[in-house]
Formats: sequence, C-alpha cells, structure tokens
Amino acid sequence: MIDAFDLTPVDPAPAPAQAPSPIADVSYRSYDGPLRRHGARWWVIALAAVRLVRRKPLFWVIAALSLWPYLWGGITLYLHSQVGAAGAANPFMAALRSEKFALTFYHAVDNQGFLLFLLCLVVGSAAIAADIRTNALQVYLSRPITRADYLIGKWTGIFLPLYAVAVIPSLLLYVGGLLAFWNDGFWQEDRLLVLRLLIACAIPAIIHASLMLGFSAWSRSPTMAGALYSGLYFASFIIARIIWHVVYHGNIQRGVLVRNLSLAGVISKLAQHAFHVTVHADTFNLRTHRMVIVDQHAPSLAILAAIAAVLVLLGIAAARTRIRAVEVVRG
Amino acid sequence: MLMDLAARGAEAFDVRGSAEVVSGLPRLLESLIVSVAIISNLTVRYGSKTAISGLTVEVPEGCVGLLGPNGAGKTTLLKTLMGFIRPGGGEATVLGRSVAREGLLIRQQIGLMPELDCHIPRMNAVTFVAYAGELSGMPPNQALRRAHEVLEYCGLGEARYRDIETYSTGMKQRIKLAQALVHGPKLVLLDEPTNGLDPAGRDSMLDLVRDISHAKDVNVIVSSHLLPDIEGACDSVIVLRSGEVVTQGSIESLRATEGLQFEVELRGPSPEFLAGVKDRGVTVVREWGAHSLLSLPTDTPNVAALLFETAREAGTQVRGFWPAQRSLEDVFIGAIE
Repeated sequence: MIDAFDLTPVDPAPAPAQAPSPIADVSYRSYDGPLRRHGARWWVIALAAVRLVRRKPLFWVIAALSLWPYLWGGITLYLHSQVGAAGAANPFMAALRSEKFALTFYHAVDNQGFLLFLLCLVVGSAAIAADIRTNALQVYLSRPITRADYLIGKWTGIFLPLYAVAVIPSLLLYVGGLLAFWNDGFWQEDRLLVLRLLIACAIPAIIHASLMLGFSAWSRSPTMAGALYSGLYFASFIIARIIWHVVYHGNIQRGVLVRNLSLAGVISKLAQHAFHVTVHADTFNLRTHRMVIVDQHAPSLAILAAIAAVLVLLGIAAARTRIRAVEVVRG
Repeated sequence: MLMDLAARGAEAFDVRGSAEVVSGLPRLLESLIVSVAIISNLTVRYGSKTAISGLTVEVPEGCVGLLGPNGAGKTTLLKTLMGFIRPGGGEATVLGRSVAREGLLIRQQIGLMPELDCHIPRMNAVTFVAYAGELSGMPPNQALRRAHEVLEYCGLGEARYRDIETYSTGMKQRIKLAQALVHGPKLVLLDEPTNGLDPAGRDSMLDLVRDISHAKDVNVIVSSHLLPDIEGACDSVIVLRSGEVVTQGSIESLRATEGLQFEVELRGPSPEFLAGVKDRGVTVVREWGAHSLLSLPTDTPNVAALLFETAREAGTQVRGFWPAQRSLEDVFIGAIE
C-alpha cells in the first residue's frame, strides 16, 4: 500500500538496443575518395544530356516515326524481289533501276531528313539556352572543366540521339537486307554499303548538332532557339528553290547546286555522295506530255563539303563565344 | 584552428607552466599560417571599365568576409579567383596555385555558391548535386552517395527528390550551397549567401556557414554587403571600396577601440556623473540615456574605483561597465569614409 504512493522518481527503462541505421552518417565530411581523370568530364555532360532527352515523350514519338522510311524501303525491296523484272514498269520501283540497294538506303536517309530536323529541335534547342536561362553555366564552369569540355559534351548530347535514331533503323534494314536479299546481290552490289550508311547517317546529325548548338547558345529560351533554327531551315529551302526557278526556269537538270543550296539540300546531296548513287527523278516533259525519268547527279562534293564544314564551324564558333561564366560588357 | 592546435600542442608537451612558451607558440604558428589566397597588384577590367585596380591582399584561413558597398569589386574578385575572368595585370594564387595558369586545379579544390539562382533544368535536387559531383571528377556512385549526405547536411533531405524549379528561395540557397560542397572543397566561396532569405532562413544559413568553417575545417570566403551576416559568421574581414582594400583584419581586432575606452551604464541619466568624470581627466565620447562611452587616460590605475567613486559623489549608481567595442558598422563606415 505504501509502495503504491511512493512518488520517488525511478530510472527510466533502458532504451532498447538500436539496430545499425541504414542511413549513412549525415554529417559533412571532406571527400578524399577517388577522382576520375579530367579527359572524361565532357562525357559526363553528354550522358546527362542524353538522360534528359530520354525522358521526353516527343523524342520517342519522332524516333518511332523516323522508322517509317526504312520500313518503306524494306517493303519496296521485298516487292521488287517478288515481281522481278516486271517491277520496272511499276512507278513505285522505277527509281530502283540500278544500284537498287544503295538507292533504297539513300531514299530512306533522305526521307528521314525532315524528321531528324524535328528531332533536332526537341533534342537540341534547350542544350545551352536552358543553361543560360537558369544560370547553370556558372555551375558548370565553377567545376574543373574547360569551355571545350562543356561544348563537346553538349554537342555530343545532341549528336548521339540524332545519330542513334538515324543509324539504328538503317543498320536493322542492312542486316535484314543481308539475310533476305543475299541471293539478289545485296552484298555484291556494294560491299562498302554499311560504311556508306554509317557516314550518310552521321551527316545530318553532325550538321544539325553543330548549328543547333550555335542557335541554342545565342537564344534566351529553348523556344526561341527552335524558332530561329526552323526559320533558317525553311527559309534557306524556299529561297534556294525560288532562285533556282527564276534562274533556271525550273529545269531539273540544270542548276543542281543552286537548287540544293539549303540546309536540307546540302544534307541530302552529301548523303547522295556518301552512297555514291545517281538519283532518278520522275518529271513531266512539257513537249511530249509524258512522265520521263531524269538522272540527277549531286553537285560537286568539294563545294558541298566546304559548305557543310563552314556551317559546322560557324555553329560551334557561335556557341563558343557565348559560353562564359560571366557576362562581359565590352566598350 | 591553429590557435587550438597550439594550445593542444602546449598541453601535450606539458609546457603550461611556461607562460612565455604558451604565449609564444600561437604567435609562431600565426607567422606560419598559409594564406588561402595571395593577391598581388591585381587589375581586372571589363572592357574599358576597371573593376579592380592594383589590389594587393592576403586572404587568411578560416571564415573571411568580403565587405563593401555595391560595385566595390567583391563579386569580381571572387570570379577572378575562380578563373572566370582573366586578370588584366598582377598575380593571384589560390591554395598555392596560380589563377592564371592552374584554373582547373584550383576549381578542383574550390566550391562556388553563386549569387544568382542557378540549377540544371529538369533535374531534381539529388540528381543535380550528384551531377555537380561527377563534373568535379567523382565516380557516379560516390557522387550519388555524397549528394544524399550533403543534401541532408544542408537541410534538404526531405525535399531531395523534388524538381529544383519548385523550391522556395531559401531552399534554392541551400541547394546552391550543397552543390558547392559535394566534392569536398578546401575553400568555399559564398556570394551573398543570405540573399532573399527571411530572418529564420538567414539565421539557419549563417549557422551552416559557421559550421562549415569552424567545425568542418573548410575555408570560407563570404561576400556580402550585410554587416550582421559577416559579423555573425566570419573570423576576419576584408573591406573593399572601388576595387581597393580599405581595411583588413580579424573582426576582434577591428572592433577594438583605441586607448582605454569603457561603456558605462548608470541607474539613470546623470549630468553630475559626467561632470565628475570629466574633472578626473576622462573624455566623454558619447552619451545616450543612462549609457555613456568614456575614454580614460591609459595610465588609469583602477578603473572600477574611479567610476564607483565618481558615481557615489554624483548620487547615482553604476549598473555595469565593460571595455567598449566598436560595431562592425562603425568599422565599415569608418573605413569607407
């Protein structure tokens, strides 16, 4: 009874033994772990860019649409192999008179061109513009990386998705062609075809990545960068066609260089050089009032390569001048 | 830090009995302190505008405040130390490395918390901080582990998976600090770390800054125009004006007054007391209400006796007296003017 009213404080029960915490020691410690060599820093930036691109649904939509030209190429080759020589009269196959496998790949790359341009807008418009908008350049450049590391990383971050979307379906079609059309001379027609398609797929990716980088660096927002680049793409195409019509009166066999003096044209004709093919175009002859097939040769490789090199260098140089941790006011 | 080491060293060698040794050891070590940054005759220009002209200063270890009015060159100095701006002349070394030639090696050991909001778009906090670590050369798994630790340390543990663009101003300041710390820098540059913070957030940020510099052995340079921030967090201060150093030193030494000055608090205002101390050769520097700031002759043998006796004669009561200190504001205004 007395014990029941004993209010003397007693020691609390000992705390139960604690299991080792799964959470790491959260107090700050200096880091003395391993460090990677400096040469690989640009790859970190490229990988981060690719990871961000992978999360965009629009990227996957356009990538899926980009399969269509190769699917169409595969169907055309299949039908051609089924109908044999009779296929020459078929307007869908008239273009495949000679070098049919290389031409199929060229047409696929050419038809994919616009989709790659759209993909470039999705992948690249925010590359540097978004970093400028959020002052992320200071975060990058306060790290032990150079401006070149940043630039190469960002460029690779645009180039890799574009190249992957271009080259993966073409390689799939190539493997399919090897398996299905070996007896039709797939291998014998052009043994360097795989090398050619690797190069041809790289051309739009390189040009788009370089130019988009420049536009992105000089824009305050990704939307602005995309709008400006679209302007260049369409304006160059329209202007080149207008000049060609005015100067050469729409004669498809004349003024090939002027006709293709646009972003899309340069990419397309460089790809034609890469595949080493002559394109056969259907055109309406006004005198005979009949459809005729006209051979279209690509303009000089040297001129096209020079134009492409200038575009690439301009894009990269423009981006380089903008990559600064601080705004420097001159004058 | 080194003073503690000196004291501990003195204890270890049992030289506590020797006053000369104990007092001499810190002085010896003080002379051996390696400056975090040595800047000699530095000139920085933006086009035709000279932002810093012939600046010469040594930034000591510990937490150093860079004070100055707007346009004094504080941010320019930080950016020059980071290697963002190429100096127009002079020499600067950070952690023993030349700013002009060894920028990458310097940035490996430095963390920067910029003044403006900055983040990588479409990244959550843990991805962003881990990415910052990877950019500094950390392997991905180490960077991720450190990102979690540093975010926890900076008080963002609960919000680490949120997109940074949804963060409040205070959280954005913390994430900037976290990305500056992730790679374990030897020196952290904080540019206006309390910008836009409410009083509680400000106190919390200053606690973090103090902890980094005093408990984690990281040297810190804080650039700010807010005197209480510098006073609360820093050990020493460098005051800049128009790109030049106008004063420099530990906060304690800068706040110390010249001569023998005491602040006295009486029971109430007493002109008789003030007249009495004047008769005893004391100068009344300032008086406000029951308080007064007195400058006594340096050879005053017993300050307490003098004050109590004067108060008794004046019919008042001394509530307290203590050695006077200038506020950092006084120091700053004095230096700027």
